[in-house]
Amino acid sequence: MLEGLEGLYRDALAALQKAKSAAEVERLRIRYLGRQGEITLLVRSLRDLAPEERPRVGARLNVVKEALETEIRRALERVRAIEEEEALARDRVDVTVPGRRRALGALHPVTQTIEEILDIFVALGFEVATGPDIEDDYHNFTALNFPPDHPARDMQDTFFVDGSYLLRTHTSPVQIRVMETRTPPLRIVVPGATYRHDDDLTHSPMFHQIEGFMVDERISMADLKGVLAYALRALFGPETRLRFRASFFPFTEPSAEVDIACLICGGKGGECRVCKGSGWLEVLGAGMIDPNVFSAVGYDAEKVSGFAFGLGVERVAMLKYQIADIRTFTTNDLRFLRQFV
Amino acid sequence: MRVSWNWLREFVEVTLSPEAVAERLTQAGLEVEAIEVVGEGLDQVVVGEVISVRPLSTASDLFLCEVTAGGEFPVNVITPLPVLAGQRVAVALLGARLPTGAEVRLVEIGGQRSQAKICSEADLGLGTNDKEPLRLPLQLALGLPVAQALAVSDTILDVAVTPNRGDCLSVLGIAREIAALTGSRLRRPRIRVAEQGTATERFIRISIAPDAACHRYVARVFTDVEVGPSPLWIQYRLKSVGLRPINNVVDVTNYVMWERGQPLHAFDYDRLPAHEITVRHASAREEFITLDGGSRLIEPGDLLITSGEKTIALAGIMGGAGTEVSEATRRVLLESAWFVPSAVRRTAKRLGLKTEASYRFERGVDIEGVVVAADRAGALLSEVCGGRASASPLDVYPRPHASVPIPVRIAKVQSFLGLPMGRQEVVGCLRPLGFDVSPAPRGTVSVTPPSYRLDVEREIDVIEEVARVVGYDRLPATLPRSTLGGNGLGQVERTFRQIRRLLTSLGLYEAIPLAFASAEENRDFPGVVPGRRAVELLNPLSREDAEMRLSLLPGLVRATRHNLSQGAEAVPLFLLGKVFWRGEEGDYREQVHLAGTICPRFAEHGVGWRKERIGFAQVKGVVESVLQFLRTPLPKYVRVPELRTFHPGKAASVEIDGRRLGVIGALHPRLEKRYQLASPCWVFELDLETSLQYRRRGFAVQSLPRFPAIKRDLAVVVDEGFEAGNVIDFIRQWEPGTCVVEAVELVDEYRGSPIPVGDKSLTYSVWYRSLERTLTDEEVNDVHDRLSRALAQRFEVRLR
Repeated sequence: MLEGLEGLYRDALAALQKAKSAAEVERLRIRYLGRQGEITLLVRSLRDLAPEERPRVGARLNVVKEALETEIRRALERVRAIEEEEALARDRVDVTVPGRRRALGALHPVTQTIEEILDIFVALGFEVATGPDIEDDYHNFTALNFPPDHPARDMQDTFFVDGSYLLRTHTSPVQIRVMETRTPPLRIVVPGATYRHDDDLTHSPMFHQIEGFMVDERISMADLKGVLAYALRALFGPETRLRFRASFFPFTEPSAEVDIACLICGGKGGECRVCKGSGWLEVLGAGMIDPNVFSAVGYDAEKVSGFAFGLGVERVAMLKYQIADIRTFTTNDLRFLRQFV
Repeated sequence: MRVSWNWLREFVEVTLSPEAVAERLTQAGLEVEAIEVVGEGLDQVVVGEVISVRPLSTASDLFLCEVTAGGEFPVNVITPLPVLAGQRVAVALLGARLPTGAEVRLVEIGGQRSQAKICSEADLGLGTNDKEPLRLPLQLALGLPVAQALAVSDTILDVAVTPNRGDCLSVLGIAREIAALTGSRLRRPRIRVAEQGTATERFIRISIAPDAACHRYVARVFTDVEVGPSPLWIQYRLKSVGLRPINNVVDVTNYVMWERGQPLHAFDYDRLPAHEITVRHASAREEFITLDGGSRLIEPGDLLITSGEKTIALAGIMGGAGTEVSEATRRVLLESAWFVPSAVRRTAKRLGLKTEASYRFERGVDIEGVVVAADRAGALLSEVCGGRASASPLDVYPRPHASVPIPVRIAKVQSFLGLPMGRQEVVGCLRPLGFDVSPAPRGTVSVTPPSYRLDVEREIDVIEEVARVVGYDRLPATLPRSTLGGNGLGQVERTFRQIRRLLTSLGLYEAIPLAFASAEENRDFPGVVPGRRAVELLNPLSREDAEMRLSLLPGLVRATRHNLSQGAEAVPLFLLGKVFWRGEEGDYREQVHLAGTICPRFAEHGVGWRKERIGFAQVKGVVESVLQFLRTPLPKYVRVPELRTFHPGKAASVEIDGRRLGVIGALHPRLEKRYQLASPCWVFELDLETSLQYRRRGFAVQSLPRFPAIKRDLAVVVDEGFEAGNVIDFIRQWEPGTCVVEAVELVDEYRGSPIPVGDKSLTYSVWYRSLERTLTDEEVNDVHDRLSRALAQRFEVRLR
């Protein structure tokens, strides 16, 4: 009775291993262990054996039956895992469908440039101050050593709101406002909107400046150079070549203009349209604070000295991002703004 | 100021190239903005003579000429220019490339060949006249290159002269600067005036009123003057620097002004009302016709040149038409004077009359150069107009210039520039600039600037001169030793940065429009608090930008309209900036606001968003986010049908403590139409500055609850006009007794079957919690029932 048993078991194992679905495994279970299954029939036929043979054959039969049950369970687990995998594999998404979200907005390039510049100076220990856009003549001009009836006033075409108030033509009046209320040492940066009666490719009636100044004992022109060189290299890159040259602003003496080597032609000039062939780009005006400015705020120019500088934000952004027309900033075209996300 | 290189070299022996000199000038504060080569390409253009002229054909406007340029056989030339036989003209040979870019080629018209081109002034880049041939003097040799004949080969430096350097508004001034900066020698050409016998005082009497803003007045009279065109070399020199030749007398005055920086004026001596001149201030208003034909209103105080009680010139600005030099003029009175800068500026500015003369007087001319300039003009007048100069020019100079020495501390120079330099180096910088330097005690030098350097008065001014000559690039660069401290960005700037980022995360793009608005815009968008008076500009660029904005909305609306016109389908913008108005006392007020426009929806990514319309709730959500970020108390949202900016049914004011901090809403359809916007255009504006006052800073966290909250929903059917917030407010303040209402939220709003038409169903979730124990279902059911009954009692609601 046991002769066919080994073969039966081997065939069952082979069939189970080949099984691809739970249904197939179930069919095999019925074939071997079902009510009319081959093993079941063998167990049933035990009673036909002689009683002394029954225990030995029965035990053997039981071992095979249990082994087969285990194999069936395993096979079932295996094919179920496969089926589950296959089902999951069919349940899939199109990963190339774009994400569903509110488009991320962007900060205006003027804001981004202001933040970048302020961060550089804040890291140097400067602090931020602000002042009014509608300014009086005294703070915008007179206290900054622009005497009434002086042609230096022509350097800044002014919007007037009445005889003595105007739209500030620069952020420099905040110098006066800070010095009127505080005492040195001072390290201040002032961002803000400024206004000039001007409108063309390179002049907007409203633009932004960052004014900065430092007042302490024994601040020298070499310090001005050191601080501005550090800041401009932080802004335009560590290799940036700089040129300091003499200029004139009523509120500084000596006055300087600072150029960087042209970002487009690398300072070669020639046919370059950005630097108009000069190889240099003017980026800021600066100088040592004029003693007359100190007298206006009651500081003693023999005890303290300082430097001040002013930088056009749009100008810097135009250079950094190669923007040709300054009016691009105030048009606020989304196709432009989106590039600054 | 344009200066000619040839002209400069009459005054300075310089071996460097124009480019190198330009570089040095730029470094020293006289920025050379452009270098222009003129007369280039004229080497192939020669002096020629027209031998014969005849019309090319009866039907043509062209002429066929025979032209000789000496030496070779005459050539045939076809030209549209009206030429006459015997004229000397500029002939461009075959292959010549003209400054206009045109190349001269062989042309054949009507069977005739043209082998050269007769040039107009415009062809040669020497002027604008393209209707006539450039006529050359007969004495010029045939075949001579025109560039050489007219001395037009030149380089023009365009120098930006800063307002402090009036002394550099002349060829001589820039030559002085070049000499000092490059170590070149300055030339002083000798000036000889051919005087005739009669003394000037026989012709004219000069007086300066004691209080007059005139410190020197020099005059001379020229007789036998023949007024006519100037020689070509004067004409082209004037043109090359941007001046228009007029006649020889006027040209000479302009020429000398450009060369010496001293404005001069020539009066027709015979048209003077009297043989005397008085310089005085006007005492009454009067009408005056200037030589440009304009009628000017003189105000008391204006500085005048008068003769026989009649005004003949606005001192330092412009002469009068009545005494202008004309073809008929035979005798000329030449004025060379020094007027106080501020006096000239005041009048010129008030009259809006800016002339080359006023420009120079405002910036200060050299009072010691007044006579030399008059002499130079005298010499030139004799040379080019045949004028004979009266002897002994009058020179009224009541208070001669006295230079004040400035003590300069060498140690101060060193510490201020951060550059160790000795006395000799300092002196070596200053002397070439014409400064007189003498030793003085205790480490100082005594520096006397020349009379033309009106800008140097103080020690610091002298230090600047030293720095300029040394070159800023040669100063060291150091970082200052500094003290600790400082507030960095500061609380406000930091908060603004955070809010801007919050809004970009919410899908808004930052716009920065001009801060101006039109009167109409300020009327349509009066701001968070209507009724404010706008700040008007006295001199706006346009009607569109005539006032300062009362609200941030006009700028955002302009930007929105622009983007819609460019085809954008979603324009979500925000702006953090100032609004401006006049206070009760006429004072000027400004305040930082935050505003946004979302028209007609947010921009999104992904499938399906275009179908969504956004509503009030989404815009309110933006405002709530900002206020939540600021940790302000919860605001109240109050319907504001009276605000004409908004759709009367779709707007709310945002209020804290009964104070309006902002507005949210859809623009009134009338405005959407007027400003060509899409509909709906949702907007909000928040008085950010005041909102910051309600900011809650610093707090202690609440400990986490130990017992669970239990949620119950509550659905009510209400009339369409019922405001959902009523129920929220009621539940928030309702006290159940045995536990607390921790939170309440509107979770659903439903219209449609089975709710009757005109009604809506609102579903709220309410969270109950006890701090002492876990609530039982029975307890909560009881509390919730009581709440429902209380609601039904308080409002016209039906429980579902």
